[in-house]
Amino acid sequence: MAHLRVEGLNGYYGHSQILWNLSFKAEEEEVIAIVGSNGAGKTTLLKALSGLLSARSGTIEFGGQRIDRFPPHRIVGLGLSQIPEGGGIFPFMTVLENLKMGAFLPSNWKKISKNLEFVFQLFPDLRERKHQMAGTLSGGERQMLGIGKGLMASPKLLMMDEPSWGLAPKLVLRVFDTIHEIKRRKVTILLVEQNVYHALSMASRAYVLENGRIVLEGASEALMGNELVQRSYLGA
Amino acid sequence: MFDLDVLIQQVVYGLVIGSSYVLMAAGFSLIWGMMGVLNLAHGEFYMLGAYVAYYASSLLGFNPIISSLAAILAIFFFGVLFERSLLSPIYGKPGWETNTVLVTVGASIFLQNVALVVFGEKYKGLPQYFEGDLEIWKIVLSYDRLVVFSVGCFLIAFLWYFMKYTRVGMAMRAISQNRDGASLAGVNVRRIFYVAFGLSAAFAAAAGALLAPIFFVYPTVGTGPLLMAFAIVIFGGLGSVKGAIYAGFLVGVFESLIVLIVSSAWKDVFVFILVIIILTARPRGLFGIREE
Repeated sequence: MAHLRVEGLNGYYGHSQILWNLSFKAEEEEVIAIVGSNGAGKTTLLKALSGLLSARSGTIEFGGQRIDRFPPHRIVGLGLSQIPEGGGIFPFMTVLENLKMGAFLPSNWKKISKNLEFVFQLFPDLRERKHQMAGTLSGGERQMLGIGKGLMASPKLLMMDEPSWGLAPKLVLRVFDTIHEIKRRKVTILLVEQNVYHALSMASRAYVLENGRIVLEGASEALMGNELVQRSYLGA
Repeated sequence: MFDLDVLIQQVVYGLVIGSSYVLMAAGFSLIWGMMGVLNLAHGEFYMLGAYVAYYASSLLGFNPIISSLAAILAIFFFGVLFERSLLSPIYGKPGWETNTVLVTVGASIFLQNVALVVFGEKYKGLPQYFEGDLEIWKIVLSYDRLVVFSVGCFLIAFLWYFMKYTRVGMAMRAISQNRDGASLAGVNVRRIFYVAFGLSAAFAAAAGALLAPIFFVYPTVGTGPLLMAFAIVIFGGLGSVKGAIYAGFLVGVFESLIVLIVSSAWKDVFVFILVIIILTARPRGLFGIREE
């Protein structure tokens, strides 16, 4: 049984439909990518999965349980954690407070010191800046703080929205190294990316999203060689 | 111009009154910053707190500290009920930002008139509870005022600690800074809302209850404190509890110095002039937390 299974998902903003009949799945400990250009509906899709977008229809199953009527805090409690674009951080709280907030749920609150150690191992910079206001961090550090905050929720499945967005090439590599490290910890990862090359080299399978519809899906190597993908996203 | 001890005496009085301003403004600021709700019925929580304390003292003979605690507890639950029944149903629906203003204005008028019918229009005063004054180096402070100040400061310290270190307090700050980010961290935002609203109401009630033995209690007694809370919140920075603490004490001291130097009739005028000056220099107030 798939870890995350989505069947016929539609999503709306007011009267306009953004997501059209999406179906996909992720197996346990798998990395899947959803790629597409700006405005394809990637962020909306993640919001629908995490419950932030309540105007949705279709089936979302996580760990065998239907979650499509759940509010965000219950979904997080099941281990489905989203790192939104920009990290979802709190600019007027310190780095440490941000990380603690990531562990807000009682079950995670008990594991704070263990998870904190893991996050600081992953991002030594954050340890150095733990008493600094999050709003004063650089773009790359904010992204790392966002990932760290997501990890504090002990996720079983981590959804990441454009973790490479707006970062210098060197930092992009670092973020992807981190994703590798998280994957090794047996966390399923759903990666949403504009950076198609990096996303495909990381994921085992991928879905291509265009205008709110899945237009292509398959193993990453196959997609890497696909003519449409090469032409539209890899600039070949 | 003035003797130093007169000046210090006024500063001390300013701190006493300032502590009640802080109690009033901190919760008002929290609700405004976190929920985006401008609660114009906040003064009525002050009024109801004062009445609870008045009756707890005059009918049941409780001392001011116990009757303030009774007011805090009663109005906390009243505040939770208020949020659940009046604000929660319209929150997030189209036009809620103006609708919540209408609802709170309506509730304010309603509660004032209920108080008028139930408690009567007569000004009610409590006799001095703790007789006598504390005198240190020519500074005289009645024990009643000392109680107001000590309990007020205790409550402020509690609020500060709560916001800074507890899980729920941190969640309140987080929601004001990034609501989606808080939801994704597992915060049940709606639940935090009504807890915060109850807390905000309870602190306003504390201010009313503590001042009941010093000033009179009447149905529209909350109007002045609401206006002052408004000024302090704008001064201290919208949504910042820390800002409300600094600004509340500052305004309290400033006001009582104006009473000394100019006259008590002019104090509100000067307070609002000060607010205008500060806002010209720092448009977001002393500790404004809104970025955009």
